[in-house]
Amino acid sequence: MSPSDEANTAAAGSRRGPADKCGARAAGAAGLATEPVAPSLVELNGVGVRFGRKDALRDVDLKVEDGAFVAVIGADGAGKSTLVRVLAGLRRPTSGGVTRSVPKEEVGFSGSEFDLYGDLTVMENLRFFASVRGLRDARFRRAAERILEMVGLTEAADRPAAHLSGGMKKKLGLAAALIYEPRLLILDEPTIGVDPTSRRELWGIVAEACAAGTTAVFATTYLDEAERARRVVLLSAGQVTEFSPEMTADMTEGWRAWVLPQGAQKKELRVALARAGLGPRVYLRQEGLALLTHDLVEAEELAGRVLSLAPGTQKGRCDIRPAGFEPASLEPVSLNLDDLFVLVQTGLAAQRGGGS
Amino acid sequence: MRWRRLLSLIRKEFIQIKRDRRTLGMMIVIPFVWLLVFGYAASFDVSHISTGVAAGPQYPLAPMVSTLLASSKYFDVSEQGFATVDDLKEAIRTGKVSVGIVPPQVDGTPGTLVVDGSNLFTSQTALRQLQMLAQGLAVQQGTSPAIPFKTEILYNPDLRSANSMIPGLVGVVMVFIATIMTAMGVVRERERGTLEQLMVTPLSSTELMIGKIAPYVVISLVDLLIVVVAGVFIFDVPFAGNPFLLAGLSFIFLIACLGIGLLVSTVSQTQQQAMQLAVFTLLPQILISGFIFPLTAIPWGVRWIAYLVPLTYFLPICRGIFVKDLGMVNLWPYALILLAYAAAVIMLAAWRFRRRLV
Repeated sequence: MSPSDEANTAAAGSRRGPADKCGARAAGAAGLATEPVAPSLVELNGVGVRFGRKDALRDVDLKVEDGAFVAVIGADGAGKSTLVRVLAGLRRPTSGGVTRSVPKEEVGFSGSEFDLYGDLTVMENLRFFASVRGLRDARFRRAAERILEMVGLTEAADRPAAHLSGGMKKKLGLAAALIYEPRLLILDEPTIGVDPTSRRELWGIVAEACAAGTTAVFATTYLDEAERARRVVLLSAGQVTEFSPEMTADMTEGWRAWVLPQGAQKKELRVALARAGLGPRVYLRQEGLALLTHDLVEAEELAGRVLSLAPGTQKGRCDIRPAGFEPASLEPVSLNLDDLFVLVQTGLAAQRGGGS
Repeated sequence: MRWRRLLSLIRKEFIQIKRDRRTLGMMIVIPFVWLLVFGYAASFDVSHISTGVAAGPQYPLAPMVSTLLASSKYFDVSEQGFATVDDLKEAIRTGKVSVGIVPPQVDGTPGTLVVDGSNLFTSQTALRQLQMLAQGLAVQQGTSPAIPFKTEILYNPDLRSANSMIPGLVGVVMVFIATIMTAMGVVRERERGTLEQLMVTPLSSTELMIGKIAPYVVISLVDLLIVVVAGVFIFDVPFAGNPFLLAGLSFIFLIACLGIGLLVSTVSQTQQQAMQLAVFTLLPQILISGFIFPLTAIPWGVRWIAYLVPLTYFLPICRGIFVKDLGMVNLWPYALILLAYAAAVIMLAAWRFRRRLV
């Protein structure tokens, strides 16, 4: 069961009414048009953020409804962190407006870097961030006990935060953001620099919070993580493209994805890719060489060009496979978020979705 | 403002300060080190000492004394018309003049020289130069080289450097702790990313500002106490004034220094930058505020800078209360300037601080 599935399942017993639970918005996965109307916790209207001469965000419209589970994806420098900071109230937009209906007491935020106090212990950090939000004494002790157990830091409660491992620090950041049961949880690249086990655990915690009624927005560069969310917002050159599977189909119309399975010789393929300079439409993924083309002929031609440039191959002889490469036929595969990401980034997507 | 929220922040600050042994040590040890250094500071010559000369029919030598003083670069006969030695003492007490001269009278009463001992270098130079002038005059007239004056040094009869430096050190220590530590404390939050976490809490910018500076107010006041107590009991500097008045006016001065610290933090990205900028504001305060060199010894090309820093207005307060027993009657102009300064700088800092937050 994926964390999002866990969120769906657990929604039935969550602390707010079933209408605004993550699970209730599972219908949203089928398209924005069918998403139930829920009150917005934060709404961005034509928001722009400018750093010197560079626009980090341009004319962004985005609504985060109560109970939503939103992923913000984009390449490095696309403006993800800026967007989540605007949502969290950490950055004032240069233009446009932000309407916030959730009080600060009910917003939890965890940045991409460790942003708690390293010289305080785990418990002292939790106590401080809980107490400034009015959670004290017996209520705090109960909440601390629960959250420490949830993130697996009970044994480390008295350790200075600076002495924790990277994964434990991330969990502490999440615990500090969740201890007062925020209505809105905002996470900036929550799993960056974390090992796969800790990543899974972190998403489990987020899913549990979401199932309990917390609205969550997170920025990530990992598309497999984005797939956990109900809504995915893609940021490119400071602008958002919000899409559902239907929109994805529209945007990728006419494009096909092919994979040349190649378990070994990844290093050689990487060198060949760099030499070929074919752009992001041809890239390496786990299974092998991925190609985004309109038809098989173009895919074979591009694959041939890459393979011909692999170390050990005679230059210009496309029909000669480099030593160690097995002749393999291209396999058609479904376009995934990675592919969509590439198409939108390169402006090749047939159609861009509208705002929220 | 929610007090419990604010107290949570202050408690957190104190835990952090307590854990940061190096900084804590610096805040406690530095006053002692400076006490030792400045308690035994060297003396410097000064010029253009404001001098009052008693005048009237009973002082036939007064015009000659005034002319003689005017010929020297060391004295500016800035106030005339004093009738008695008491007039001159009052003028010294209120800072109108640093040296008072009552010339010998017609009935043979010897003249009197009154010097403001609370300003060490000025009084030392005045005495030395007057002695030389008198000797020169005696040689010219072929009379006895003995000075025809009875000398009385007020407030610091032995002209001990500690009596002048330690009251001034009260202000210098507070400038250091309040400016540098506040600037560093705030920038540290920004540098480590923890300021963002504070910003998403319900803490208002005012609460955040007060919570960050409150611990340094307490530490600065403890340092003030250390300097005063050590000055009185270790360096035998007499404390003549009202300690509560000193504490009250020190608090106003402290607010001005904390405001400067906050301002520094709003224009610094890193702790290193904050330290450099804070030292940049600190040095002129120590060098040209009158703490080491008298303001009158500083040319106007530079002296105007002294009037931009709060220590210039606080030094007459702490020296005045410490050694001269001055009250608000005498100190209100300085107190008023400091109050206006503190209000202006803290408002500017608060505005900048709020703007930098989001």
